[in-house]
Amino acid sequence: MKIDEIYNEYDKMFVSNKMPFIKCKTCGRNYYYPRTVCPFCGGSNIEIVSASGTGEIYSCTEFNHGFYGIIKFQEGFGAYMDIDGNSVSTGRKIRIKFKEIKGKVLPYASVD
Amino acid sequence: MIRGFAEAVYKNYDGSVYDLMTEALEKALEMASLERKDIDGFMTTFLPGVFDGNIYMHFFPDQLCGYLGITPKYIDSLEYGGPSVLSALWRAERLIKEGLAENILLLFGGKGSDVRKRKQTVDSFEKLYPEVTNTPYRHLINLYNNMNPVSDYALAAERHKKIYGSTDSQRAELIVKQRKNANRSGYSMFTGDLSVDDVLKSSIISSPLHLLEIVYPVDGFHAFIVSGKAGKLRGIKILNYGEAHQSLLPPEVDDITITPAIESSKNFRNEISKCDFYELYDSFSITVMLQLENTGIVPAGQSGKFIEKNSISVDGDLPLNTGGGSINRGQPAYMSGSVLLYEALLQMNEMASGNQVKSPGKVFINGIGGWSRNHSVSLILGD
Ligand SMILES: [Zn+2]
Repeated sequence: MKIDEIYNEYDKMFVSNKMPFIKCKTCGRNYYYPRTVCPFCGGSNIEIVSASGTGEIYSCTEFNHGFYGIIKFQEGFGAYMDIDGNSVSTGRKIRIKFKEIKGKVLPYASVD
Repeated sequence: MIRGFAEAVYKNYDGSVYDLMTEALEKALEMASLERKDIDGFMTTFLPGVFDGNIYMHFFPDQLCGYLGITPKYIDSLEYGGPSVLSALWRAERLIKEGLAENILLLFGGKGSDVRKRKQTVDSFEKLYPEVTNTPYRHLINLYNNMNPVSDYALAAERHKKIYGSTDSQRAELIVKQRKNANRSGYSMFTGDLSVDDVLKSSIISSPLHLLEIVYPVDGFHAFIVSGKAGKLRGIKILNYGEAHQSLLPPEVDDITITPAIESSKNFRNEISKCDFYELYDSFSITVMLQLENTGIVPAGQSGKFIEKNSISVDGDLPLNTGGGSINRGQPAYMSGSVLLYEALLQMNEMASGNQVKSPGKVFINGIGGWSRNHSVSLILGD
């Protein structure tokens, strides 16, 4: 797989409100930030999969009147993200939603 | 061995970055009793924005040598932020031993105020240049509302609170104790009485981190001349050294309170406990706490309690960031490594006047930084 193919697929999935991640078929681990080779084992047998879109806040911080943090997804991968909701705090369960930022559709975490 | 060392650090330097580096170089040459023509090795680093406000400079190390009138046999630029200068010292010692150069100049710094005044941080400077992406991850990181590295260290502090129960007061206690060291040193940029309450009442920049727990970027250069001979100075050298780099992003690791300092210090843990004083990278309060734990000085999760109970002054239980650290001395060009090394050299050469560690034998220095805390350098200096 080429890196542009990963970004194109990610962008397409974001637009249809799906949360993508990469599954490594060699070591079985999952990751989010696009690389054509698995950062955990070096394997290149990878596929792009749609995630459940649920997880929890691993850590979060508030600044500029908004929250930002690390989300650990049910499938085991993690990502930085904006976080929205009334009672944002570390450990809370989240669901993924989508928003447009500077012309790009991107996922963000929402606390129910 | 280090034959000359100097700093030229200002809260705001109105003149050119080239005057600033010239000042540091000339002071170091004077201490070393050397001239520019004697310098045959050059090592530096470049960070976007913080050299002179521009995002890039063409063939950076060569341009600096050309401007300064230095003709080196060896040129290098180490690109991992704060701890780079510590690695440069180790590499310079090796190069001299190998006979590749005789007098190597380490010149590190820039004008941090150029980024600060534009209300950006070193990792967010790309926001001023929409056509530039500073990471391979394109819009997946930089379009979010982040304020790295501040927000990234805030996430580490928040996680540390969550899993170990450390408190805002414990982090504030560290800041207060470093300020006491700064007041006593007489050579710090930020001085005056400071209480835990003052720290906790300062504005929260990125929760849980308060303004007074965050280093202040300033303008300045440090120059260190590494040589086969110590000249007028004490002939100290690196006794133990380790560096470690990791490539996973913080969301991809299991525990963000673990830094590469675990790895960089692991081969000489027993020696670390025998040192007379400690200089630990203090970009934020939490950075010091993570290093105390990750280098084995205190057990995991215990740094907050340790700071509450112990004195970190030059005659205390664990003399730490003896000059007040870069939190009080200012962080030249968003990199604290040179501040740590400069303070260690002042102490080891017994030049710290009223704030002198008594007969220091060895110092442990740890630098941590780069993007996402990906780099750590651990070393012990002694005879
Ligand atoms: Zn793998």
